[in-house]
Amino acid sequence: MKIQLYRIDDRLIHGQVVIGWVSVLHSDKIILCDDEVEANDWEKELYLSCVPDGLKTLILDEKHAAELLNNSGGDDSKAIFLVKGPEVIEHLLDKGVSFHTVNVGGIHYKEGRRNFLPYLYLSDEEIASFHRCMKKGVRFECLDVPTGHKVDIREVIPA
Amino acid sequence: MATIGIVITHGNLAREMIETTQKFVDAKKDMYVFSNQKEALDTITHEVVCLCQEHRKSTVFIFTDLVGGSCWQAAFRVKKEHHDVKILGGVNLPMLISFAMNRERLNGDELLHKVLEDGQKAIRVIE
Repeated sequence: MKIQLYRIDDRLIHGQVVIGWVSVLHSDKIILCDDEVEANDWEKELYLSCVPDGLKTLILDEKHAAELLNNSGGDDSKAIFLVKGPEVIEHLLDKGVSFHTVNVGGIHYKEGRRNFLPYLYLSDEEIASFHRCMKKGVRFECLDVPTGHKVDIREVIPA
Repeated sequence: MATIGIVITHGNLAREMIETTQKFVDAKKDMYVFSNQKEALDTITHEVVCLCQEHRKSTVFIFTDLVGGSCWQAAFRVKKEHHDVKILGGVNLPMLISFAMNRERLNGDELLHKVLEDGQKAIRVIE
């Protein structure tokens, strides 16, 4: 299995992903990694309802996602890997997963977050989390849809 | 029983669809529009849940544009709080016209069937 795109997107599976990215990357699988979603049948049902026919979906907790990423060989399927925020990337790093580049596709407004890009709102804790990941060598590229303009997160968030 | 309509879409589509439906039939009564670009999804979900509570005795129809999009997610979350809402994804103009024309005379299930049928029948191809 080849991960074509690691993506941070708090809306997880939605139009930008299943229409925008899947059609450009010709992916055949979506891997959603989120402890809360994995543990909640209703949340799973919601996200599975967002997947078009023909696209396989795996919903995993962080532990199983780390195992999968650390041992991904086998088939030649092409996948998009989705998480809600930088803290999940941090947890996966702690579990031995390595990332070269992670796409930052969207973290939207909620109380306590400040605006950095039209699709990027972050709290101080989230900014700190991005910095901790970058110290471990992860590069973050902000880009909501494939046709957009790619920006390195270091140009966007405070140092 | 009264029926209220809610349209949740990307961009200004919901507002424009209702404005356009209004050119054919009276579509604005008890009709509410939301845009995922103007409001956070949590806010939309919360506001629609509040609307459902205000109209407790009404049947609630929620129309969204893309099945599987973020507006669809917001509608799905409303259904968790209010099981009896009806969600219709892939909204088109004929569905909204049918909804406006038939909402007074049909009950919830009949209306759902009618709107769906009219929406599907309205898609035709000339080759």
